[in-house]
Amino acid sequence: MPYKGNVSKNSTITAELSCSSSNSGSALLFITSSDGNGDSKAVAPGGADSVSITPTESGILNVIVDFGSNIDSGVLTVKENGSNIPGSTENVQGDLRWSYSVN
Amino acid sequence: MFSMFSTALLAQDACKEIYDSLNIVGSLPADYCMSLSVYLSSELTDNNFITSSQNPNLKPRVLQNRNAEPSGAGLLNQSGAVTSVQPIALAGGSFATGGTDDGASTIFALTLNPSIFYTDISNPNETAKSSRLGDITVFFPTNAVEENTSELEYFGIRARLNITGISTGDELLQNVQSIYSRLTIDQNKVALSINKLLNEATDKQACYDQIKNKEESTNSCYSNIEFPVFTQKQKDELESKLREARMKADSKYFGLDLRFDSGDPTLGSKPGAAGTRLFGGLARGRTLEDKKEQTMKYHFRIGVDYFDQEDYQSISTDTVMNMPVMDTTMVLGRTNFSLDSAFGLEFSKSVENQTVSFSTGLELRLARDIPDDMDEVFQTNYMMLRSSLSVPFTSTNKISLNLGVPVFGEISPVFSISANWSLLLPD
Repeated sequence: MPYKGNVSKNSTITAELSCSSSNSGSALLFITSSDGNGDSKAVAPGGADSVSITPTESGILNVIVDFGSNIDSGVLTVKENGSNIPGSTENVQGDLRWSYSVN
Repeated sequence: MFSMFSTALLAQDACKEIYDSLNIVGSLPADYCMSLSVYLSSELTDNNFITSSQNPNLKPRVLQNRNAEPSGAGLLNQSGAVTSVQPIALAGGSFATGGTDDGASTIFALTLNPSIFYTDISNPNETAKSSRLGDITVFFPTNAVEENTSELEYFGIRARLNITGISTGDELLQNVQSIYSRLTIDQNKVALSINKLLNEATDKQACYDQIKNKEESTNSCYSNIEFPVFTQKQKDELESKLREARMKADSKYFGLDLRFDSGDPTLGSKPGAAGTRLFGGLARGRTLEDKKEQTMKYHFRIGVDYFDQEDYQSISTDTVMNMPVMDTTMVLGRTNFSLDSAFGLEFSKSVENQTVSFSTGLELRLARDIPDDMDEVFQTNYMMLRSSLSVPFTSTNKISLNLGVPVFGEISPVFSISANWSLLLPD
């Protein structure tokens, strides 16, 4: 399910991606919110990195992962103010988008 | 006032009931109807627009500069009136054949971008930067091997370093990220439209079901969602934006053009032409006009050419036989510096991500203290009008017709046909 829940306005949302070392190439990790802000990182095979954003307006926050191929995989975790958001830690494979409501 | 407040509270209660039935974990929303709208928008947009744009071909091949090609200034394989310093993304080559006063000749050039040895080329982030930084070209005429010694009579190496490469790569990625941001903003417009419909609906569960099940009847909430310009038009726009991002990244360059030539480029037809030649210059190019995939770009180069001439046997004319004969007199080689400059305009038209281009420009080289009748040997003191037409036959392969006509000076006119190819980055 692309909708993963609700996060609070003005909280810091962090998305962490750990990539499998057998991935064909680096993955791109994006976080964007409907107030126009965003952050992005490239995560190499076997590596881990994170992006973060603080949405200041009610609306939508998207976490997008663009893998090098559809069989590439990793573990994606989204945190709110440093704490794991329940249901937002998953083994993922292939390109994905997770949506959050912000209010 | 109280009535409006209580209506809003009732709407929240109804939305909460539906939201709770979804068993979504995590923090509780302050606005259940809006969170429900975001949920519905994320379900809907999967089919309507995000699927196509979620993975908007953000692969290195999309970010590849396809206009760069192996090319040597003043050589048969020079495609474009003035060569640029925009490097090739991965590797490539060119094969050119043509004629000058020295006769017909054929030249090969192979180009390699060294970044492929230290960059993860499957990573769009790194590739966008490193593939635009620099490359090295080795070129040699096919008939440059001496018959008896098997030694290479002439060869050259060219290095291009595009200083703007790194910053344009960053800019390109920023443009792609802004596309994702725009998608999120567009998705929010859909969510706001759904939120309005849910708040106005008397039967919120029915409205929710109509959107969830995509019921397309006249009074259905789903039929009344105000979608921004999604569907095929949106997909086309996204692809166009990505193309635009790449063109923008490649719209300007500034860098170093370095070249080393060793041997006799005339392959023995002119005594004294053998030597070592070094060129160092600065090159600058920028798109002046960009309208509906038609662009006009300028290219400028200025530098210094140093020529270290080898000692050679002069040729005199046998007055009886009226033919040139090798003189036994050894002439000491000289050294010389020339000022080199070129300016040209390139007009191009993109058709289906492929570019047809025509360019024309002037090339000038000036030096002092050149012995009489030796300008051609030293390849200096001339101005040449160059024109070139390039037509692609695939997205990264093209054929160019190149013509050079002297405006003044002892320089041979040149006409050549060159074929350029380059490898594609991963898709």
